Amino acid sequence: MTDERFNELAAGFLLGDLDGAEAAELERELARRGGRGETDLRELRDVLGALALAIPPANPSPELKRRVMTAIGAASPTKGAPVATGSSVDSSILPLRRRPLWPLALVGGMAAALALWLGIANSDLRRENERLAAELASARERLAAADTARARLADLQGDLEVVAGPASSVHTLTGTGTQPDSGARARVFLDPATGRAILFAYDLPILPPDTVYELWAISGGTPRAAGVFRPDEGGRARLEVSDASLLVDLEVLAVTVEPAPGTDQPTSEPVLISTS
Amino acid sequence: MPPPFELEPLLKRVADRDSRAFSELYDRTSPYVFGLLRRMLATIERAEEVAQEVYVQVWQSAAGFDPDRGSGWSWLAMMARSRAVDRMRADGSYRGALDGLLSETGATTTGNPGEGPERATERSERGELVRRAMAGLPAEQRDALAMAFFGGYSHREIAERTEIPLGTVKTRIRTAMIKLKATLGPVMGG
Repeated sequence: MTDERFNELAAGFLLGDLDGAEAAELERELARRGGRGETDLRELRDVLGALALAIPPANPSPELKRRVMTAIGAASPTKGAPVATGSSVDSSILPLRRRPLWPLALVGGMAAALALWLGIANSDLRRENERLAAELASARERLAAADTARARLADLQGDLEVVAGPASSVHTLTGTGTQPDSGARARVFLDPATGRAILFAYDLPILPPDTVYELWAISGGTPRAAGVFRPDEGGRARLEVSDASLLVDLEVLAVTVEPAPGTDQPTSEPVLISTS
Repeated sequence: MPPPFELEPLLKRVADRDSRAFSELYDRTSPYVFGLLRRMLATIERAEEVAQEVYVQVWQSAAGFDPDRGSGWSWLAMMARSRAVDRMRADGSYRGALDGLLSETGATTTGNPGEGPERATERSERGELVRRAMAGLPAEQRDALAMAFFGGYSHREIAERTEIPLGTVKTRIRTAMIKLKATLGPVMGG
C-alpha cells in the first residue's frame, strides 16, 4: 500500500468515515507496517487534536462544573480534601449551658449509618453507571457498524447508478499481451447524467509495492492521466475517475504500470487497452 | 509529536478515581473543549450539555486512555468532537459555522482561571500557530478538512455539497493533514 493510500485511510478512520472494507484494509496495513504504522496513526491523531486548538477557548458557565462534579458523584474532591473539624465551628453559636450528649451520640450514630448507607448506595449507583456506560458503548459500536453498512450500501448504490444509468456508456479494456496472460480486463462506465466515471478491473497481476496501475484517457494522440489504482489480493480494483470530462470525445483508454504514486505521462507500454 | 497539554499524569490519577485530579483536568481543559463545542453546536445550552457528557465519559473511561495511541489532549479533543458530531446528527442539519474560522481572534475569548499567565500565553501561541498553519493551506484543502473536522460532514457529503469527486475530497483532506503534521510537528512539544 502506498503512503498516500495509508494516510487517506488513516484520515478517514480518525474522522469516523471508513466503510467496512476500508477499515479492514487499514487494519491489514497497520499489521503489516507494525510500529511505524501505529506511530504514523498517532501523529495524525495528534494533528487533529491540535486542530481543535484553532478555535479560541471560551469559558463555560460555573454551573457546568457543578453539574459535572455532581454527575460523577464527587460534588467535592475526594482525595486529599480538607476534613472539616470542630475548630472550624463558630463558638459563638454554642449554648451557654452544656446539653446532654446522648442525643448527639444518637444523631451521630444515625449519621454514621446514613453515611454508610449512602456509601453503599453511591457504590451501587457507580456500578450501575458503569454498567449503563458499557451498554451505551456497546450500542454505539452497533450503531457505528450499522452506519458503516449503510455507507457501504450507499457506495454500491452510487456505483449502480453509474453502471445502470439510462445514458451510461461503457468502455471495455483487455490485455495487450505485455503481461503474463492473466485474463486481466477492465470496464469503465461513464454516466453523463451524474458526471461520474468508474473503472472496475478484474484478474490484474499483483504489482511490486513501489508501482501502481495508471489509467490514461487518450484523445488527439495525447494521453491524460485519469487516476491510479492497485488491485486487491484477488486482482480486483475500482477507480473513480476524478475528472470524468476526460472521457468525453475519447479515442482510447489505456492502463500502464507506473512508479508510485503515478506519473504525468506514461513511461511504459499499456497492459490494458480499450477495445470499445 | 509530543503532547501539547501534558494531561497524561492527570488522566492516570483520574483513572484511579481521584476526583481532585479530575477537577484540575476540568479546570485546565474545559475552556478549550467548550470553545470547540460552542463552535460546532448551535447553542450554548447544547454545547454545555455535550461538554457535560464528555467530562462524565472522561471520568468513566480514563482507564482506557492509552498514551501510545496519542496525547491526552488528542484523546479528549477527539472525544469531544465525536460527541458533538453525534449531537449534530441527532439534532438535524445544523453544522458548525465555518465562516471566519481563520479570522477568529482572541477578542471573543476569555482567560482560563485554571492556569497561570505563562501557560495561558503558551497555549494562546499554540492556537495562533495552528490557525496560521491552517491559513497556510490551499483554500480547497483547508475547506475540506474544516468541513470534515468541525462540520462533521462525511467525505461523501462534502463531495455532494461541493460538487467535487469523492476521490478528490479524500485526497484534499489527506494532503491537508500531512501538511499540518509537517508544519506543526516541530512546535507542538509539551
